[in-house]
Amino acid sequence: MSDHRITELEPIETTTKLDIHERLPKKIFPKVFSFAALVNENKCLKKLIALQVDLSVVQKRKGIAKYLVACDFEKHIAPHVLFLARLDVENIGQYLTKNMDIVLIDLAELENRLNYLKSKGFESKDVSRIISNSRILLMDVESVDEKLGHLQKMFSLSGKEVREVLTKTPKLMNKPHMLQLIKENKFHCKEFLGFSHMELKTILLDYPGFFMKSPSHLSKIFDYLHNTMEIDHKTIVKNCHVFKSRLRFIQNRHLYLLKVNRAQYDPQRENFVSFNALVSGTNEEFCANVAKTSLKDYYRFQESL
Amino acid sequence: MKFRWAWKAFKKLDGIFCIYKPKELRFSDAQRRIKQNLLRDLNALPCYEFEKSIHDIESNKRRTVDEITSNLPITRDVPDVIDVSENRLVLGRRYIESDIELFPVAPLQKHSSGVIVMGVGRAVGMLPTIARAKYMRVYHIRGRFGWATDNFSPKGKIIERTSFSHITKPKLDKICAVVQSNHMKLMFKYAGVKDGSQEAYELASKGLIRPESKDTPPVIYGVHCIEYNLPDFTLEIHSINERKEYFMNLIHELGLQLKSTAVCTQVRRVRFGHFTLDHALVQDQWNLYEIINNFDKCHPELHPDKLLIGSKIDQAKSHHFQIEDGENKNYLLEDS
Repeated sequence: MSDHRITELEPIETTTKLDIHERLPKKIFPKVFSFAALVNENKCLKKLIALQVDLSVVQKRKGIAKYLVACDFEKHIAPHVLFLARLDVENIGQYLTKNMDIVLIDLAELENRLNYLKSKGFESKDVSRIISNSRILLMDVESVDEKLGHLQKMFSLSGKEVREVLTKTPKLMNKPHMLQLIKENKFHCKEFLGFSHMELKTILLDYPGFFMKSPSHLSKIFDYLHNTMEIDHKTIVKNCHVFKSRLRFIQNRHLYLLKVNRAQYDPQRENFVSFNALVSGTNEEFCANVAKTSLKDYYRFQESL
Repeated sequence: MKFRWAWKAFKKLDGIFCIYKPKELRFSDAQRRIKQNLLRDLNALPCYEFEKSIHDIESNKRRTVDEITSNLPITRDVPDVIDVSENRLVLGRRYIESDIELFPVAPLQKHSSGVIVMGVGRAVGMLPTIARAKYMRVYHIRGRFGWATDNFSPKGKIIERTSFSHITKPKLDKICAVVQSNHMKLMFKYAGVKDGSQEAYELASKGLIRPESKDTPPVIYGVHCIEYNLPDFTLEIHSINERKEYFMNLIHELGLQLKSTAVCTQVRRVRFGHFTLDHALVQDQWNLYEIINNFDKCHPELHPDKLLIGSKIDQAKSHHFQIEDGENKNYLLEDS
């Protein structure tokens, strides 16, 4: 017990002023459902916008949104951006929009994955192309190696050919069950559509995207080409880019060419129409260059189907 | 037609248009595809402040390494003090699927093709009026003699093969005439008046006798053979309240009457009231600009004189619905 007692009458002397704002926690974030509420104050998000990263896409990814709000741009993200810039990735904003998970991965690990690609003999130009068009940096070295190895075995490719395929369509790596899909497509084409192993290999080297389509898409288009348009396997293998387009386009255009007597797919005779000309290009180009009629007639014809 | 802002285009997206649905495409898929195409075209236009055009932004996106590393953040050609949150990169696409209302009048099933009238935006309120008009639809039905399937469709299981060499065009025409005359009797029944009464006379004197509602069984007004090339034939059928199954059944019965069998191979609607193939947009034309142009084309067909034929209002007396041509584009009928 102290001797000195403060009586009720004595005023309390305080040296410091009581500031209620100091006592409260600095900022209370209510739960927000979009980056739009934070973007004006958050430096990191602001800089990501300056990089043209589409935050409306990024915020939907699990785990990333929380990380981005809390992180320091200079410390956690800038090194990754610099890493990508050094690799000559085209359009970093778009790349980060699709592969924002990359900021969660260690730089050393990324370097490791990059070194794997380099060790496999890819040229630096190809490496930047592969990286900017696929999610290969987000995958383990082991799984990438396994996928490429299986691909090589499946089609008995040489090392150079594997590199060629991957450089042509880096998106081949994006499919989660890529090997399974390719296996399924290969089986389907071999057993049901009647392509030989060598033919499939030439297709893979020419247009690897062929094996990323669904088997039903392939068989639908093949059925139309082979049974209706009466084109043999050899010609189809040569023009495998036809499988890029939809059945509707091929069907409409072929029927229209039949009507105007221009459906002639034999290169040795006159008035030859190549598959590239048949499938690619807008309707205007097709009507002007291939069918040699007006666009209106083509649309009028579609109304008779 | 060109737009500088998306909202200007969206404001215009309000009217009745007409599509040609190809076969083997489900109507719901066609509807979804139109919606997606509209959204694609709307979002490609500048939607937010300081946006110029999607092409400008695309060209701005490419930056050199120096720019990215040295001067972050990079300001664009917009003022410094802006609200960053109102930006396509933050808010995403301005227009989403639920923004667009799109409904048909009398859609078609998967295997049939033809003209479908559709409404988008506020004009959706107009669609019941069009449905109430009970427009006559004209179909081209293709059939083939010599076989029968278990479900009358060409994709069904073949259950019978028959000869058809004894069939001639006059015989087919005769059966068509029988079908037509049988339905003459039904017209009055479905219109809700007694055969031979004064009411029936008055109804008949006004023109086409339409069924009372859209729930009555199909009424056929005319059947003609327009193409005869054994074993294939094409019938032109005028009808109201029809269904695809009904036509398939009709072709089957027709085959039996001719002492053979027939299967309906194609159902194609070439006219829906005043909406013809000339109005319709084919699948390659389902985009924002063609659809907005199509509103103007379809607008004359929505004149009250044409729209009120099915309802029992005597249009000569109803001065209420008279609209001056071209001047007033609001659909007064929505209020009625």
